Amino acid sequence: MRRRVPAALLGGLLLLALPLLLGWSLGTGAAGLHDARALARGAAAALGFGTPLDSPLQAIVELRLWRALTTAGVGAALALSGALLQGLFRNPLASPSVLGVTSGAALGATLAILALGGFGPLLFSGLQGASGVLVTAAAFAGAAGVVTLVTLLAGAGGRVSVPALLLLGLAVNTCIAGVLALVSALVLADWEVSRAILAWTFGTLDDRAPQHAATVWSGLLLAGLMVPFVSRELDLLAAGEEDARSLGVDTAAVRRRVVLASSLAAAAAVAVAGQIAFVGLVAPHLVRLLAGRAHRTLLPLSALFGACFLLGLDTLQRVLLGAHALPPGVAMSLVGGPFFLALLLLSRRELDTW
Amino acid sequence: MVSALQGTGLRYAYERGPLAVDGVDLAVEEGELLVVLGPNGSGKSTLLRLLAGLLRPDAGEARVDGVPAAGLLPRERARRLAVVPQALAALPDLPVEAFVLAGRYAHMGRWRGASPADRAAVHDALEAAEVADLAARPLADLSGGQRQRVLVARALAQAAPRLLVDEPTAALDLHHQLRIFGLLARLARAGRAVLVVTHDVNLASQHASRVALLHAGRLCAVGSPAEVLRRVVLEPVYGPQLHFGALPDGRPFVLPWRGAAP
Repeated sequence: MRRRVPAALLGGLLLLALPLLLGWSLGTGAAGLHDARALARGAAAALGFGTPLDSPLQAIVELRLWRALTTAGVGAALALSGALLQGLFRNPLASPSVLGVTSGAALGATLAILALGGFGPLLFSGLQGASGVLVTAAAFAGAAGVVTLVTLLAGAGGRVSVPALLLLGLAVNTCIAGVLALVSALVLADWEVSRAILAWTFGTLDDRAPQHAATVWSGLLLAGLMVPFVSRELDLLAAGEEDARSLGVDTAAVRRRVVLASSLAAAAAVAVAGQIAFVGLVAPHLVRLLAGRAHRTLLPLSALFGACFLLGLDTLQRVLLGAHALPPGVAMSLVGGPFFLALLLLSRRELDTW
Repeated sequence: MVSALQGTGLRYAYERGPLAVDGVDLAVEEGELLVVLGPNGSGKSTLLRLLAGLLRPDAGEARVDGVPAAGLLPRERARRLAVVPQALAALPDLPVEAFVLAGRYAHMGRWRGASPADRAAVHDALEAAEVADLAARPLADLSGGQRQRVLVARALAQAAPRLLVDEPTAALDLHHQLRIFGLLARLARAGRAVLVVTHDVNLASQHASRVALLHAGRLCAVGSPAEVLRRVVLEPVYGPQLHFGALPDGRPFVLPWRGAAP
């Protein structure tokens, strides 16, 4: 047992950081908005409290607010999903993107958008009304399908070894990439649609509207409601599936709940922002190193950390790169790729024993 | 009379494997320490898991206090019977006391932490298993013998009247073997029904109320240590290279013996 940061301290710091990052994000951009009070007033007005700012400023604040809220929600949802999956598979390399859960959600969403007729216009006009709900539901179906599939392939037992998990993820991701490539090939003639699919693959946080923020936050909230019903159980599962059952844990029910919650969170994130890799891997991993592995604290802290992490990264790259900011999926891959590689190297001993 | 633990016609085969348990009838009563003996691969641990309701038998039925184990909810089953595993799949990164508290899972409410009753049960369990002095130590720092007693403590904290113990002395030195079996025998005398699976014939002889001998998934003998630990019973299972003797209290012991030097 190492010395650790108390979970309450880490939670407090993250809770303090989130509004600061939100403010930073709102104040960043071409139109210099450096008056914190004006920013707060604009944000409050956007949420329906108080009087709005002057017309162009208010519009800018609102645009940035929905982007920031969506970004924070996406980061939190992906991190929560990753923490849940790592607990379920007892494997620190599990995450929504490694296992193909985000690809599954993207596939579901893509097919739904195609089925609804016209990929392009819908994506650019954003999620609206019933079609938005449908796309989100399809993303959830895709994500839940993949998590269920991986659970079945991993065997009724429990712990999945690192190589087995990576191979499983590789296989699932390859299958889905094939279908997505097929879809892209079929619509290749249509420049607008192809471009939209490409944009989806990278993930996007531009031009987010209130419904995007609402979608991801409600998905996150629903998944979060499940946390108290799996925390202690995931702790006990860490010592082995059969051991947990002998202590009275209904392991089948716990697995169902984790599958549901992790798919819901990942799907909500993908439905509003496309595929963003590695938040789900990095956030729970760092929180576990800092504050320990009890899921009662690990799950909520991972979500908080993920929100701060993605929001901070997105704002930082907007500051550094200005108008040429990278799509979030690309930015995350550039940060997360090396991190993933380092994790693999560190767990080499486990891989070598295979 | 209803037995505390009872298996009837238990049969179980692992996927793509031979029959591990092949038609076993066995009952454990309150107040007795029943030791299941058998060579490696005879199906001892599988039998324990079947009786504990952790495996579903291909045929036959396991009952706890006359109730089918398969029909019990996991929490309910955990309040009736506790299992001491031979080892854990992974060692949780916890101090001993927190680990033993996991034994209270089936008694704890979802929305509350450990109650005073839970704390008291953990305290008593640590005392009974003689690991109270280790309460604050990380699990990973313990020796094999200490870890084994901590596993027993967790099962005691579970406060279940039936206890199933898998190979408790596999990696222990002589002194700790005696301490563990002494503790299990005391628990049986205090009214629990205790089933222990082990390959150690001589520990069984000294502590068991009854001994059951398992060979290739079948029971070949059940009875008092004196009845089972005889050449006619053991030779078909372990081969002829055995030396039998008697301890000062008259109980039998058995040693592997290569025979007189040529």
